[in-house]
Amino acid sequence: MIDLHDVSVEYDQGHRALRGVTLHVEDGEFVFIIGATGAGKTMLLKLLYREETPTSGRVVVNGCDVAAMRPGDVPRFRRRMGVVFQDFGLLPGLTVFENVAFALRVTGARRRAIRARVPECLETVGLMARCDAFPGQLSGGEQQRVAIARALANHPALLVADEPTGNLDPTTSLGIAEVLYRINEAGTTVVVSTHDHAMVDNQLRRVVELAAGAVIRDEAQGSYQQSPRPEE
Amino acid sequence: MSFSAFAFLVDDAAKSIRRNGLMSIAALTTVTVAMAVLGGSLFTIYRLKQFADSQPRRFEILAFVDPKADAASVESVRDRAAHIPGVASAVVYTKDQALRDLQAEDRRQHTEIVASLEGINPLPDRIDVRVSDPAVTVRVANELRSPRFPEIEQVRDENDALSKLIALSNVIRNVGGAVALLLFIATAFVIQNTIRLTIYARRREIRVMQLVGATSAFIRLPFLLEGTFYGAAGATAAACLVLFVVAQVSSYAGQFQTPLTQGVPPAVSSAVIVVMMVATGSAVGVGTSVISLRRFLRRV
Ligand SMILES: Nc1ncnc2c1ncn2[C@@H]1O[C@H](COP(=O)(O)OP(=O)(O)OP(=O)(O)O)[C@@H](O)[C@H]1O
Ligand SMILES: [Mg+2]
Repeated sequence: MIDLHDVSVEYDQGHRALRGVTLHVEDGEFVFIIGATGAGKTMLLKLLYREETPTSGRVVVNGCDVAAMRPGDVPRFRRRMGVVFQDFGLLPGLTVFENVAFALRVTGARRRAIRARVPECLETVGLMARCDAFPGQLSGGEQQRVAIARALANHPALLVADEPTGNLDPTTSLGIAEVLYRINEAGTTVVVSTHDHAMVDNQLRRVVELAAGAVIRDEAQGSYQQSPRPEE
Repeated sequence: MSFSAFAFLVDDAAKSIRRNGLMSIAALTTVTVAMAVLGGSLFTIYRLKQFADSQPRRFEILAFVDPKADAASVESVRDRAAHIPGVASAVVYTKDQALRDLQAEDRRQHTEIVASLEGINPLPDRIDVRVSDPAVTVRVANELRSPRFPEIEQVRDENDALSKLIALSNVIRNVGGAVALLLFIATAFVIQNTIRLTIYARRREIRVMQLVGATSAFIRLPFLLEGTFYGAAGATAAACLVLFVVAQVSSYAGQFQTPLTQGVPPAVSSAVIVVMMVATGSAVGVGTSVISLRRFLRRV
């Protein structure tokens, strides 16, 4: 599903956001990316949905070489994945239903297909009851669920979430994590970056830790314990 | 693209036009004014040109040779006339030719002018001089009247009303063109600014669209529609304005047979003017939106 080989991302000033990252993720895996602020988590995820391209190295996602991709092919590439952010990225003028439908409408889906698919996605995140509410009327956790539902709309093979629980309290975070696990169990590959150790600890999931742009540990499912180093 | 997707785009464009409020009005107004100036100038030039074209023997000087002159001296007059600077061509129109044409005219009109002449041809030989530039008409005509052409009895040249008309038309073309150009630049700026505001107002939406895999055409289309709307709607308003003014002027001046109001049926020229203006306006709208999208919308 994901194949990063010796990937570096460099800025003009010679500043490197990622240095020599090699990472392989199988279809259907669930991976946490952790690391301190500025470690390069967001950068790593941006490579996956081709917001950024590597300065050197190879990034292959869903069988597509990200660096070699023509700009015209990016939309089709992104339709096969879902992206979720810390700040939700919902459109405040649209209802919950419309926000999820939005992802389908912009890809030219037909009305009938939209009416069938949106409730499925909202059902998955447990928010069908609030489908006529506006984002402003929802709690942070609920808004994040809507964002996840929207990311699911196009049946993605890969779900990428950048600190989906960064703004949420621990209980709510756990709820979001549950939703992500459920999505993963249905077969979708999930990559989640987080600061939130509570979310990672004792979850028996694969954890990849970044520091200063490099992978400093990559522990297989079940073996991760909280890093002893002090974090923010 | 499915119908519902297209309806979605149109809906988007309409929403943003409403949301832009004052900017939309500013965009529409500048387009309207620019198009009205352009359309008004074009219409006036068009009418003046039609009027000028409807005048017979444009830019031509007719030199009537003394009937007593023989064929050789007619030919020599023609030669010398052809060598006057500014003359494009000088052609002899013989009295025989003139008589034949008159006969033909008799047959068409069922008159008997030639027959009544009883074999005498009173017509003079004539030399038709065409000048290369209407501005030299008077000078060439005066040259032909001068003693250097003793064989020429009479010279008839274009009246200078026509050259005044041409000068006027040129002034309208230049001034109208310059003003319209300036206004178009202003229009381009205003439309561009409006599109930029729209992009800014919708940056979240655009971002989400990009992330869920909307094609860049799909993202751009509402902006193109918006720009086209400003161009086309402004131009339509301007066309209505121009046609209204023309109708008013015509109804007052119709009886005086002015160059602007006489001749061609108005419906023909009106349709042409409207189509031209709306096409130009839409083109300006599309062009500016394309430029603004290039400038302000981050690719993918
Ligand atoms: N556009 C940019 N120009 C220059 N440097 C950048 C740019 N974007 C990111 N960086 C740098 O790349 C490094 C990695 O940034 P990144 O956003 O991936 O960190 P992060 O791990 O997501 O941090 P956080 O936990 O705060 O979100 C940082 O040192 C950052 O300063
Ligand atoms: Mg980050």
